[in-house]
Amino acid sequence: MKAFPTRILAATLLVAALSLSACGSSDSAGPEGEDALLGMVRSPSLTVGEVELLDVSETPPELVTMKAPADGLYLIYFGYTSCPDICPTTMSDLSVAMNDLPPDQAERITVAMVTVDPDRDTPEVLAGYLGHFFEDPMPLRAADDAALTKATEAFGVQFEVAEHEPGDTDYEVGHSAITYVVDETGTVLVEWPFGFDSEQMTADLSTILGN
Amino acid sequence: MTPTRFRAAAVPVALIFSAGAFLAACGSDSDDAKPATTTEAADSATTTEAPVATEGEITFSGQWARTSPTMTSMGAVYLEITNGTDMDDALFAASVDSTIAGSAEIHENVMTDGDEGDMHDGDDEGDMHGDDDMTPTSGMGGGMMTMQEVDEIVIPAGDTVVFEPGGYHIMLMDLVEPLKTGDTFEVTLTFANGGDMVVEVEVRDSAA
Repeated sequence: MKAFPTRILAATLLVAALSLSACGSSDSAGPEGEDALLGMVRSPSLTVGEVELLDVSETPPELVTMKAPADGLYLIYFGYTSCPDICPTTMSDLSVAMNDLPPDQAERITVAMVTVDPDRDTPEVLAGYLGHFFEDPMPLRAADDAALTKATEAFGVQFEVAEHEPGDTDYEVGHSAITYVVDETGTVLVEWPFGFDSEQMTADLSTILGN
Repeated sequence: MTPTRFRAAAVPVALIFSAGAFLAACGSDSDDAKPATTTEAADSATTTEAPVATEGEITFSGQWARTSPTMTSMGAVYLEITNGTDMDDALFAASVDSTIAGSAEIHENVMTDGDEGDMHDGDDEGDMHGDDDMTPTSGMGGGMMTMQEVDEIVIPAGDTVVFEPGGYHIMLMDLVEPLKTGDTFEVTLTFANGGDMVVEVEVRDSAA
């Protein structure tokens, strides 16, 4: 019984020593892959900073470019609110990912959804929809069809909206279901396809914001 | 062996284990840093072997509906359907009370190949009128997700079919009121052999 406390003490010191050495080395320039992102990274990277869209959370809507505020990130997704499955699943995953970040990192991130279905997604509908998932989101609409085409081409987004009459509420929309992580220069740092694990999103955001 | 001796041995071992875990957490993030492959959603609408198929009936599990944003009139219901009979069956209709939603349909999401830039998918092709000018060639993972109605889903004898985000779902249209977390409601599922079956679903933010 006498040896019991001593062994614990020794083990505790070992823990302390190992922990110190483990964390001490992770701050220095590590081996290749230390900063690797888990999502899809393009080479060369995609730049979308020239894209202009209307932030309809402002009255009147404010024209914004796809460059995040300094030291911040935009998470940009193209979708539509009449989408019961893919879009809310993605928004929910993004919300979970952001909630798992330290608050000081989470508040540097703004989630933006660009509607590809402007006929149904009025500013009120779009802003209300995003507000369900996020505290201070950026609901985006294109000024007109040409601006939407330009924006989707810049991101490589595909979408198709079935023919419909004004006022129709039931028609099909197809769209790329990718979330783009964009920095203050308008560079897409990483892309997450539909179904990407929210813990891996958190890891990517943490890697980017921690640098 | 007395309890005391057991603890004397166990405590240092547990501490050393935690040191190992700490090392792994701090030092080797890059082990996991492989590029993501394409979405797993493509696999989600497949049938899988049911672990138990001895009930002799159709059974449901894991049923839930997604909390719906106030600004939308659409909802989605997910569940697993196990066919414990020795005969294939098929789900061909779903309905809910008119106090919940105007209608319900069986839907699936399909990922169309990004390189095609068009929505060729059998009979439903005519439904979509894409403008080719609007569909630039895609980059990685650039395919489109499109929802389509399904006439019927075969539930093979002894198998389970999973309805989950990105795959099959019961789509609710014209929700009377938003689906609020914690609410429950009934969905009637109609099978070719099994007839009408009622399942109660709970409204939740996510599956788990």
